Amino acid sequence: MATDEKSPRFARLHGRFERRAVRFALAILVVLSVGGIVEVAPLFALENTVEKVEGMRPYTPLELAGRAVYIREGCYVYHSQQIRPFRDEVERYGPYSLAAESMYDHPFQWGSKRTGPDLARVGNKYSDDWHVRHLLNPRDVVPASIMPSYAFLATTPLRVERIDRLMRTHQRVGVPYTEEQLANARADLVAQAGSADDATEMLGRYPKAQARNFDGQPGLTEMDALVAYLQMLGTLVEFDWRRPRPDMVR
Amino acid sequence: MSEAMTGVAGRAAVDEVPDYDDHVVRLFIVASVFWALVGMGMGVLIAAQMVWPQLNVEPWFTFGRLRPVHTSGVVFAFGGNAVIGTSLYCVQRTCRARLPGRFAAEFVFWGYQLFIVLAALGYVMGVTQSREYAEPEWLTDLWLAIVWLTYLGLFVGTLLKRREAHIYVANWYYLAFIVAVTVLHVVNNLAVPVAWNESDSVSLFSGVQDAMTQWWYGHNAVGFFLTAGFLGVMYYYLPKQADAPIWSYRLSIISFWSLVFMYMWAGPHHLHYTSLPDWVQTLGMTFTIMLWMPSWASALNGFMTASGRWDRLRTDPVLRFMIVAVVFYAVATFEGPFMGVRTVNGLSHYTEWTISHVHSGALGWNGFIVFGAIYYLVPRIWGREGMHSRAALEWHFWLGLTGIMLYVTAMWGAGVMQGLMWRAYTSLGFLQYSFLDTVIAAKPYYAMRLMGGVLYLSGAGVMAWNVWHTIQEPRPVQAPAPVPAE
Amino acid sequence: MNTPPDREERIGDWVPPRPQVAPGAPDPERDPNSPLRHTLPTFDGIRELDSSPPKVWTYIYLLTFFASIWIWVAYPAWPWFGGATPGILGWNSRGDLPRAAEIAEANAPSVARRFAAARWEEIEASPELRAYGAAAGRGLFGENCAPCHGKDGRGTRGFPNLADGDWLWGGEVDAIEQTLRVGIRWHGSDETRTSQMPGFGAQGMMDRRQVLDMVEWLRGSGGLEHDAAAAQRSGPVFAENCASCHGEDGKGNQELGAPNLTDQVWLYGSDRNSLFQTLWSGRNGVMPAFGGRLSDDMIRKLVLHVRGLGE
Repeated sequence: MATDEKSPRFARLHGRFERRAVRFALAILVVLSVGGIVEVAPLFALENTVEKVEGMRPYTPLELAGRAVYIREGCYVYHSQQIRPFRDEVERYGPYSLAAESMYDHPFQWGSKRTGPDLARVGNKYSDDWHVRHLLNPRDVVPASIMPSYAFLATTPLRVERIDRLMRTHQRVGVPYTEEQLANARADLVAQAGSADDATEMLGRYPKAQARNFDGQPGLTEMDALVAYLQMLGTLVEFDWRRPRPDMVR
Repeated sequence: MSEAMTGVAGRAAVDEVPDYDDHVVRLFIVASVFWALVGMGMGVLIAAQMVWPQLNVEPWFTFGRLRPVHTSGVVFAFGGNAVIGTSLYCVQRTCRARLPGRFAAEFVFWGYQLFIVLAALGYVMGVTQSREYAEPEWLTDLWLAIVWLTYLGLFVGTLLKRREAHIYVANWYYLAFIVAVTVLHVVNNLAVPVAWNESDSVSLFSGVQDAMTQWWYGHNAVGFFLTAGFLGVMYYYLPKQADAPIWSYRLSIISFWSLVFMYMWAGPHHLHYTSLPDWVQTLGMTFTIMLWMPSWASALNGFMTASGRWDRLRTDPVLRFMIVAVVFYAVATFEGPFMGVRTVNGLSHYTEWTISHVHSGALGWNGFIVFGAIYYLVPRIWGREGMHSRAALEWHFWLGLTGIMLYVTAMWGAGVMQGLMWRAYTSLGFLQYSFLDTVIAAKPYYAMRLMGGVLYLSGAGVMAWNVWHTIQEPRPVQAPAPVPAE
Repeated sequence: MNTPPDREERIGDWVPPRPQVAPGAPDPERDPNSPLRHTLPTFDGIRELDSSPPKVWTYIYLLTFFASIWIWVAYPAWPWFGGATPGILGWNSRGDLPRAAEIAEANAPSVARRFAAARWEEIEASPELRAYGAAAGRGLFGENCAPCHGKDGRGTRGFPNLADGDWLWGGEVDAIEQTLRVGIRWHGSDETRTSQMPGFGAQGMMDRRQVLDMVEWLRGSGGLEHDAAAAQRSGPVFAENCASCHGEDGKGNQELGAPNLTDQVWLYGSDRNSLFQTLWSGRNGVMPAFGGRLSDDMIRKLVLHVRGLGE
C-alpha cells in the first residue's frame, strides 16, 4: 500500500523495517557487525597472526616510561613505526616490521604518516648524544628539520613512582611481566639509567636491554626514558628478510 | 469517494504541527559555528608549524599535541555539533513529533560540549591514548558514551513517537550514524585505567590486533561519522533547499544497506603491506572497491534530486554549497577506493596524499554540506527572513572553494612526490633520495597548503559574522504564519 | 476500514490513503518535471520518486563484485581454520620481497656486480668503480650519516667534519671501513674503536690553574689569540698528560683517534669556555657501528662517498 504498484518487491520488504524504529536500529546493528567480526575475531584466534620469533621481551621499566612519553607527545602523528616489505624501505630502514615486534605494544604505534622518517628500527642507529641534541633542538643537528623541539624533557624529572602501576596494568592486559620484574620495577628503572655495571640484575631480567646514562646528565629525566625507548626500537628480533621463515609469510 | 474524503480529512487531523524543540537546535548550530573557527584555526596553526617549526611552543603547543585538537575539533566539535543539531531538526519534522523528554536534549548538548572541552584540554596537557581519532582517555570516553546513549534515546524516542507511517531516509542515515558510533566507540576504547584516580589507561589490545581494531574504528569514524551522518544532512537539507523530490527511493535503499554492510570491512586498507596478515588486507581492499558504487549512488541521488534546478545554482549560493559538497563527495569516494587498492596504497600510504584525500572529503564534502545546512537553518530557527548578507554567502563560497583547491592540489602534489621519491632508484640501482631530501622538497607545498587553509578559515569567519548578524537582526514584524502542510 | 488514528496514538502501520484521482486528471502526487511516480507519502514536504538506477551504475556495481571475487580467488583472502585461503597466484607481500630484490640485482648494471665482487685494490685502481661507489653511497649517506654529520658531511659541534681531509681514525679506505663497521666507543660492538679523553680536571689530574693554562696553550697551537705566558707554563703539564696520545708535537695519533691539536679544526669549539669544558670533563664522542645494520657492499659505497666528500 505504501509503495507504488510498480515498485520492486524489496521496497515493500523494506517497508517492514522502515516503519519500525527499533527493528530498524537492530537491523543496522546486525548488518554492521558482520565485517568487524569476520576481520577482527580471527586475528585473535589464528595462530599464525603473530610470528613466533626469538628475542621478544616486554619493555624494561625505563623503556616503558619512555614509551609513555612517546605516547603523551603524540609522536605517532609524525612518525610511523612500521616498515613495509618494499625494497626501498628495507634498504632505507632495515628489515620489514613483524607483527611479533609490536606484540607488547598497548596501544600499537604504527602510525599512518611519515612527516619524519620511520622509527621502527631507529634503535642503535644514532648515538645517544645525537638523540638528546636532536630532541633539545632538531635544527641544531639537522638544519632542514621541521620537527618541534622537546627541550623540556631534559628538565622534567621522571616520575619513577608511577612505573609500578603502569607495569601492573600492562600485566593485567596480558603483557607477561613476572612478579619478580614487577617487584623490582623501580630499582630496575633507576639501574638502567646508570652504568651497565650496576645494572647486571636488571640486564638479567631483560635480555638485550641497554643500560647507561642516556642523556649524559646527572638526574633521571624524561629525556633518559625517551632516549632509552628510542635506542631499543627494533633491536630485539633479528631475521633475514631474504630468507623469511615459512611462518613469516602469511 | 467517501473513502477518499475520509483519507484527506484524516490526513489533516495528523497534519497539525507539533511544538518542535528548536531551542536545542539553535544551541547546536551556534556551537558548530564556534567550533568551526576553533578547529579550523587549529588546523591553520599546525599547518603553519610545518612551515615555521619555531611556532611549536613546548610543552603544550607542539604539533604532536595540537594535531588531535585540530582533528577532534573539526570532526567531533564542528561536524558533530552540526550533525547532531541538524538531525534533531530533521527528525522532529520528518516524524512530526517533538523530541521526547524535558531535559534530555539539553543534556546531550551540554554533555557533548563538556566532552569536547575535556578532550581538547587533555590533548594539550598530554592526556591521550595516541590512537588516531580516538585520542581521549578513558574518563572522557566514558562520559561521551553516556552522552551518546542519551542522544540515541532521544533520536529513537522521536522515531517511536512519530506520526508518520514511515521513517524518512535521512533518519536511516542518522540512525546508522548513532548506532555505529556507539559500537565503534565502545569497542575501540576498551582499556584498563592505570588507576581510578589517574587519567591514563592501557589499551586492552596490543600490536596487530590493536592496529586492526583501531583502523576498524578509524575508517568507520569516516564511514559513519563523516559519511552516514552527513548523508543524513544531505537527504533532508538538499531536497528542502532545492525544493525537489528525492530522485530514487530504491537507490536510497540499495546504497544505504550497502554502505552499512561494507564500510565496516574496509578498515584494513589503512594497513596495507604492514604486518597485518595479507588475507585481512585483501578483504579490506575488495570491500573498499565494492563501496565505490554505493557511495556514488548517494551522490547520484543528490545530483538527480537537484537536477531541473540547475538554473538556481547561479542565484542560490546555499544550494550551490550543497551541490559542490556532493561533487566533492563523489570525488573523494572515487579517490578512496582507488587509494584502497593495495598497489596504489603502496605509493600513497604514509604520504601527504592521504592528507589531500581526507581534506577533499572534509573541506569539500563535510564542510560544504554543513555550511549549506547552517545557511538553510539559521533564518528558520531564529525566525528571520533570510541570512543577513547575501554577498557574504558568495564570499564564503568562493573563499572556501579556492581554499580547498589550493589545499587539495598542494597536498596531492606533495604526496605523490614523496611516494615517488621514497622509492626512486637511480639507473645504477641505488636509492636516489634520502628521507631528508623529501622533507626539503615538500616545504613549498606546505606553504601552499597553509594558504589554502587560511582561505578556507576566512570563509568560515565570514560565515560566523553572517550568522551573528542574522541572529542580531530584529525579527520580522509579522511572524511567519505556520505553513499548513499541503 | 482505514481509520485515522488518535492524535496521541502511535501510527504504526497506518498509512494515509492516497487521494483518488479522476480518470484523465493530473495526478497531484506526480512530479510535473518527471514522468516517474513517487512511492511514499511526503516527509515535511519532501517527496520521493522511485527512479531506476542507471544501467551503467548497476553494471559497474556488479563488476566490482566480480572483480572482488576474482581477487579473493587469486590472493590470500578469507580466514579459515589454521590460516586463510592462500589464493591461486601464490602471492604474498613478504614472500615477494626477496624475489623483487633478486630481480633488481639481476637487472643491476654490470658495474654494480663488478663492484660487489672487487677487492679494495681493484676498486682503487678503477676510476669507474670508485665513481660508482661514491655515487651509490650518496643516498646511504643521506639516510644513515647526514643526521649527525650533515647533508654535505661538514659536521657540526661534536660530529666531525668529514669533508676537511682531517681524519681522527684514519682516512684510508680500510680505516674508514673499519670505523663504519665497528663504530666509535659503541656499546653494541666488541671491536669498536675505543680511546678515552679523560676529564683532567674532574678526575684530579690537573688543577684549575693548569687547565686554564692548557686552554691558552691549545688556542696558541691552533693559531688563535692567547696568553703566551700561560701557554708557556703548560709545557711540562702537556708532556706529562697529553703527549702520550696527542704526540709530543701535539699532532695527534690516528691509531688512538687522538686529534691533531695544531690545526684549525675544533670539534667541540675553540672558545675558552668550550676548551675548558673539554679539558675539565673530557670528551668521548660516540658513533654507532653500522656493521650489522648495513651490508658490506653498502659500507664500501659509503666509504668511497665519505672519502670523496672533501674532494
